[in-house]
Amino acid sequence: MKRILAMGVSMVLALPLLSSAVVFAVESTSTTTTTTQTTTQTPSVDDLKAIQTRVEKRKAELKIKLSAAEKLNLQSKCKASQGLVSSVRGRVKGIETSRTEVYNNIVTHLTDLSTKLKNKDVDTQTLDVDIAALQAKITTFTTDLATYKQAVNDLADMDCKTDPDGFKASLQAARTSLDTVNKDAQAVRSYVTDTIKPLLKTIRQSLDTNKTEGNQ
Amino acid sequence: MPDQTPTTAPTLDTTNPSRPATGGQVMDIQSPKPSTAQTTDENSPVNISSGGPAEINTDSPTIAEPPAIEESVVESPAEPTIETNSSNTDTSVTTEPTEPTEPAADNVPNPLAATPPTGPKKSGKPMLVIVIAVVIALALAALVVVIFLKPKKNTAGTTNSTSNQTAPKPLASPADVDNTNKEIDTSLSKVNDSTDFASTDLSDKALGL
Repeated sequence: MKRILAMGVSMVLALPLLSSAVVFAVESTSTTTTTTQTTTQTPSVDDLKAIQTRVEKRKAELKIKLSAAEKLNLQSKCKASQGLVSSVRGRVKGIETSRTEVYNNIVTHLTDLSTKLKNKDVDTQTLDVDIAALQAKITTFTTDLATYKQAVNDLADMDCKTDPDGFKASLQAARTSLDTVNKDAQAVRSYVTDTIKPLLKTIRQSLDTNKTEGNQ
Repeated sequence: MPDQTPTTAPTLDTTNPSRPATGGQVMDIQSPKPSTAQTTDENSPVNISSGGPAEINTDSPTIAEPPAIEESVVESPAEPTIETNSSNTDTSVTTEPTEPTEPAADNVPNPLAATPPTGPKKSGKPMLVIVIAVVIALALAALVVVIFLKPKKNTAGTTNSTSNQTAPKPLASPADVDNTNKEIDTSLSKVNDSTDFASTDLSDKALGL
């Protein structure tokens, strides 16, 4: 009887420990599932349908109509080119991550500086306007980068042998998006270099002037 | 084992009249309690015959007790086995431990009657332990659930609020502007537009078309 009671007590005491272990196990499994979802990418049926819809739209917009010789040439080489496009897709992912980090870092530093200047009763109206304009340019870049990434993904995942016209249209759309994204990135850089940095120079000079006046 | 030697020794002493004083101790050994031993010393006929004083017979007014003494004497049939055991010591070792315990339980009902109540008292403690264990287990389980369901944003919000309350407002200095300028240059140097978005990435030559 005492043994049964002792076993019951021990089981009751072990219940919370087991439940906590289960909780931690559930948490760890949830994180592992998310990581596996990010690593494995196989387009589902819905994805393929969405790709086909976008490809048809591009064909209509760009009015792509290949000749029979061009189709044969493209059908014979498109599979190999899709492998190269997949490597470009991987690079675009890395570029997206690094660009997002860099641009967020710049905006964060400028916003912090604006806050400190406000605390010191320095006029930050021009700086705030410039920060807003920079954020708008970054948003445009992000949107165009997403479009470019979508075009590259479709180019890599579509059935190019069945639809060579669609492959050609997607390739042209991706090239156009790449050019647009490149311009957006240059626009951000030039805005920071040509507008933000001169403004920071002006702000620094004003702070030096206020400091010398305060010392006098 | 030490109880066996004294019991055998008195029986041998009763056969020897040369030792009257030890005859009184015989009954002391048969009954473990001193109170009963005294009564057996007074009323045992063996003691009287063995040279006990006549004054002991005058103490006979305590007649109520003799039945108890007789019981002890009746129970003593275990002793004949002991006496026979004096010749066969090997058999006495096996039989004696079982037999003396039974009369001891019969002779002393009061102490044994006191022990049974301890059983129910001990049974109450395990129930208390179980109740405490269940309460602790439920508390721990509730704690685990609370920790699991506790949103992490709340803790971050509380820490931010406390830091905002304690930290003074930072003021801008020329060094802050310089640091911002340096951070912007460092960040822009990490990315290269010409390599990140080169038009040659998707050219016919690069793709083998």
